[in-house]
Amino acid sequence: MPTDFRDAAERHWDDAACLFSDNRPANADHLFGLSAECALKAVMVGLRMALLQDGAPQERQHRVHINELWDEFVNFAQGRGGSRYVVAITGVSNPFSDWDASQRYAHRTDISIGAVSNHKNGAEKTITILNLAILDGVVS
Amino acid sequence: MNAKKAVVFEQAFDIAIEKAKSVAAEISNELTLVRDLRGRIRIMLPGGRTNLSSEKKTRLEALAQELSESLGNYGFTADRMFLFANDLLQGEDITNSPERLLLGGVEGCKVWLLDRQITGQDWLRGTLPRKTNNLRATFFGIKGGVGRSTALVIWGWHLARQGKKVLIFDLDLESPGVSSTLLPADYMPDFGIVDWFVEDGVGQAEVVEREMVTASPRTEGLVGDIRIVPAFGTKTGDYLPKLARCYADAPGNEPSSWSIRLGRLVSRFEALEMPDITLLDSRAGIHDIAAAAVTRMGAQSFLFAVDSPQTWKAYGFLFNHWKQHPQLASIREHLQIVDAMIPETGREEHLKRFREHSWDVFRDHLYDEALPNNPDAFNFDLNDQSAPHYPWPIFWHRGLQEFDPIGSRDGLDEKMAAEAMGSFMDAAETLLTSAGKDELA
Repeated sequence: MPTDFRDAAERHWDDAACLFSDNRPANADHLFGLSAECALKAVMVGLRMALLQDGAPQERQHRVHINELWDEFVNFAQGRGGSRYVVAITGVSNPFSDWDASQRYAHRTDISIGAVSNHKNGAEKTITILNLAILDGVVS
Repeated sequence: MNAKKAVVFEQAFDIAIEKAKSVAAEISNELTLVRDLRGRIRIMLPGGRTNLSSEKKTRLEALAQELSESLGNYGFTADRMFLFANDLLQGEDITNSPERLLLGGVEGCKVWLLDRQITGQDWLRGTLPRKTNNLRATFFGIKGGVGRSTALVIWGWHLARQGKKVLIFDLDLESPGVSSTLLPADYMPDFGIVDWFVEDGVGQAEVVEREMVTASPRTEGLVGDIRIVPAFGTKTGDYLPKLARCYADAPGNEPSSWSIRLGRLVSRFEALEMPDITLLDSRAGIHDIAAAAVTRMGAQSFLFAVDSPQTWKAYGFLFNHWKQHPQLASIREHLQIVDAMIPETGREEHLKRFREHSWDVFRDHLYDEALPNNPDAFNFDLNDQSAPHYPWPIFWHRGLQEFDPIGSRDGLDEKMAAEAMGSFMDAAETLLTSAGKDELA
């Protein structure tokens, strides 16, 4: 299946917001993390990140989830004329540093509502960045 | 593509406006032209595409096709010509963005422009809020080398002689001048404006703030005082890597643009120094420093000019851009043209020509049309001495060319200052008087 980071970011966000407002934070949290990852990757593709044939990033350090991608994005975007997208998140320590894709195997009570709120805020920032890049014509 | 038929930047905008306006009322009660970083244009509509009637959908598809074909390389493929607010998460933030400019209305449909640019956005933004209330004046020239900084220093000295406390910022960061004109090397503070921006970028401006402002030794013995915030200091070190980082927006939870940061810097030192007046020496030309200093600081702006076609053309570009400014009424009330280098001979003829050329460019772009039924129109006759186009004169003087108050044993030559800038300073006096009246009111 072809990769579409922008659409993936948006649908994960929609579903996360839906679950969050329906008081199901554990799964919302998982999707906030995926949404943020896809949003940043969509912008990185717009800034000419090299891709493999299946649409995945070519460089190993970019084939990571949001807990690692957040800082990678800053480095990558600054080097590719994307400073305007970095401003919103540099100086803000990675809100997803305690997020892990494997938490989908965890018990729901181990995922705190405080952490979910942080991740929701972080994901919102990535959506703002994605929107700017769309308006700029950087992301199609 | 056939080069003859290629659409270029400004044509694309006209085409998009014309087509958008021709159908605006049919398709929505508002639409936004979004011009991207490369100048490509598409149309953003409120709501989503799913709830459109089939009739409207057909109309939009036809328009998308038409726009896509007529905009050439400045358009998008037809399927991407329209962007709906609902296509974007938080899309309503964009359709309500204060960055949009209202271009006009057609039969109840408002047409907006959202212009995404790399630089230069501040020319169309409004005055920044501030907590200090001293007068501010910006010295700006559309071209450099016209004696702008020298005039600033002389007026600052004149004000200090009258007992005023003057705070000067050297914002000509690419070509700092005021700092070294007023401060001998051994009087320079440790740090300057470039240091402040760099340290502020990592959230610690306070580490340099205490060592950034100093008095000029040339004001010793004067009733007032000149305090200077220079572009650099003795501990600045390698200047270029710092300059290269100055213009960044400040990162953080609420990123702030360069001009907001500059406003913070200026207000911070005003609060500490409590001057009667702040003088900002702006970089010349259409640059972001000038945009912030002229349009966003709430300052009276002196526009330095010489009577050359290049100068008037360049001011014309700037004034024409200002036509779209949402706060044009306030901007134009704070402008004053300065005839910066009046020759020693043929002064009357020179001043007459300068005045006519200045009037032309103000009238073409910034003045309202004079209509008998609109007595409040912002409009001035050619010879109206209170008009912003009517030049405040600075006469060419050998002493100005060799101006070096710290190198000279006698400091500033009062006779030369009066001969060259007496009329300018008399006129500028009115600013202080009216500011004083405002404060009393």
